[in-house]
Amino acid sequence: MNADTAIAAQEDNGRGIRDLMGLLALPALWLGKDGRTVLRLMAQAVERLVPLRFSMVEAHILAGDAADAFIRIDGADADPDAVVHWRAASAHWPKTANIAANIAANNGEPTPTPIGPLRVIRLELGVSMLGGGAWFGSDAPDFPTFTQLAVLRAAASLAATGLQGARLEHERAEGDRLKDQFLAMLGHELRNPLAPIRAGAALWQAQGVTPDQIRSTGAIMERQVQHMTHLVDDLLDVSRLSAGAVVLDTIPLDLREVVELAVEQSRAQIDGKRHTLLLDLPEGACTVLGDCKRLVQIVVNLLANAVRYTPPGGRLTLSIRATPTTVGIAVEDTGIGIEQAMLGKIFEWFTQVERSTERSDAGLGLGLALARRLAALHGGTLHAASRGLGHGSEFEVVLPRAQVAPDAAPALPKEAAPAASPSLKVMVVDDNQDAGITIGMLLEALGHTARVVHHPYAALELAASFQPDVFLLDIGLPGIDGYELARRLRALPGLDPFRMIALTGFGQSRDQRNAFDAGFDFHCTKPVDIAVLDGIFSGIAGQKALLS
Amino acid sequence: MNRLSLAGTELNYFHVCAFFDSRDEEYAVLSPFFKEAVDQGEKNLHIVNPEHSADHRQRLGQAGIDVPHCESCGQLEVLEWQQAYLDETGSFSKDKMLAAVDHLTGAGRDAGFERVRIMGDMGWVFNDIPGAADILEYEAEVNDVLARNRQPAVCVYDIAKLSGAMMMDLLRTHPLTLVGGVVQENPFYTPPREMLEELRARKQA
Repeated sequence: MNADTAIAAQEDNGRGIRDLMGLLALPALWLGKDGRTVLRLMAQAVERLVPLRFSMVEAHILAGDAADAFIRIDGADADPDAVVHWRAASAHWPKTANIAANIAANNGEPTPTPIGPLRVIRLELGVSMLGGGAWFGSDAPDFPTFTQLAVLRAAASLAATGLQGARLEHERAEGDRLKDQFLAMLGHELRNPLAPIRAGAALWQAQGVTPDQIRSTGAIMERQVQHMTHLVDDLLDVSRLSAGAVVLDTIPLDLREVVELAVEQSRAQIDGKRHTLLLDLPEGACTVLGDCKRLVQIVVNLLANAVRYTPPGGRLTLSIRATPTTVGIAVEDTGIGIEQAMLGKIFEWFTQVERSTERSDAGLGLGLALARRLAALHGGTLHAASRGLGHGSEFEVVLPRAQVAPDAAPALPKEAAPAASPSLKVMVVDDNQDAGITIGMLLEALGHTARVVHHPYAALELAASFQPDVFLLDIGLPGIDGYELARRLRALPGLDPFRMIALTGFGQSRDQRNAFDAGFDFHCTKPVDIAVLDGIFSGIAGQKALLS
Repeated sequence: MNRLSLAGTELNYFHVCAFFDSRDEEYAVLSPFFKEAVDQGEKNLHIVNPEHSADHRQRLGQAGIDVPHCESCGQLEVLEWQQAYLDETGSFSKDKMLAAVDHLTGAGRDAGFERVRIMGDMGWVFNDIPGAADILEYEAEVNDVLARNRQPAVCVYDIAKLSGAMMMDLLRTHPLTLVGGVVQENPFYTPPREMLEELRARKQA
């Protein structure tokens, strides 16, 4: 190396470091910009530092999106239509930053490009090829020099970080937007049932209300409370599934019986919209290992979705498809269908809601997301298919087939007919006066004798004189909680044998365990289904009759 | 000599390229620079977008500057683009502007003011102004004028309007940068002669 060459090399290095320092200011331009703009700014910036004829950047701007591409030629944006042409041309270019390898791959010649033969290199955006990449081409005979390659690598690395930042910002903003939308929908869905409940309550207080009116509004209110209970259950399931807190009670099940139960639960909704339901079930048992309640929930959710998104008078088909290793339950409808772009999103918690807001009877739209996660808990899958808007949809949950002889699957328990309920003495403890009084009135109406108190110490004081057969205790109480009250009642001398029921808003499995550990015999989640409560009382009354 | 600081940094050079994301950020960073001038009996010469003249004065007032008093005693002079960068035809003339800056910071500097601090809102560059293409040559050449007269000037650019290439060029023409509220000596700064050579080569290409 002669002196002139050495000086030139030194100057080149100096310029290289200077250019790299300049690039470090580039991210200041990216604040608040989307990923596409970040990449474009990078491509523009390097044109000032490296003698480029073209750059072509390909990247997935948002996770899950198809790769986007743009081209700059001679310092200007190329026509977007040129992308197809350039992509085809670049399909066989070696994806390397090693110019020697690139030229060797082309028999010692520069790479043919749509604007002529050029020295072309490729740099990945980030640490893997998954993030996308950038092609840079130049007609400079020494491209890329060591310095130019360093500048281009730095620019690509900075842009990859900027792209990632833009993605995260987009996801954060999108999450915020969907959360707000969800909360608005939640408010709407919770308010809707309140209107008939409030109207019913007002009617009952009106002069001249007839027994028929009381009965019919009572039924309406019961339905609305049922609806609200389902909403709250869905929300709690979201929380439990997200926390991995759902535990399956797995037994061998014949899916035909699961389907029967689900249809039974969905019948009112299906008939309400005058849909026809066709069942296509095999003759033999289709056994899976699963949690009956959760599998029924999956099918009910799929049916509810089909009912909701099918105009009145539509046709729903529920079929079981068995293979030697799997069993599938498919729900087809003749409804509004699903756009291709939405198919991948409808199982996300909040994206569902976006679809649902278009309809007045949409619900929270959590059903499909819950169903998919419950299916996954069973080792299964749930997929959707649709030929597009107006062409209906099909949802199929596929579960592993159990290696159990079909006849080994126990028959699902059928609801026993309620026995006649002898009168019981019940002490109700609830600090919510309205809740305590109404449950007391209900128990009286069912033929029991109820004593309602609103403080745990009052219960301890009055227990011996009242001698209850049953304590019905709230858990969130002032002074001591329901668990502690249960323990103290169990230890209280002078009481005849009694049973204890926890009636609480805390419905997680650990809450149940806590209740049983504290001495409760039953655990019911508010608002309790009256039939369930009546069933428990009938059982207790039956045992009491046997003992006496 | 009085203190000369910007965003908490003592200035050893006189030509600053300031990038801002919003007007709120701009005034949060620059107002102390203006106030320091007032407190030290120096002059502020501001060249602003005519649409923002009233807002500019209001923000200076909010920063604790007595705008009417400073304007009446000459300590604050607010010019609009047409009174400085642009001529009566709405065009930018690099040479006329260089001469004006030389006059304002040199021989023509108002008596009684030890220093004049220039702030120029450069938004007009993006308005399709005749002559605006010469902005980079102006930014390169004005370095010598400001260094010779030892008077500071802050060129304010809105980040949202910049292309990547424009940002690279602007960085190369300013020895100091103000990005994200931080003043830094600019290692990317390219000596005016070298920069002008490159700009001429680009024009010929």
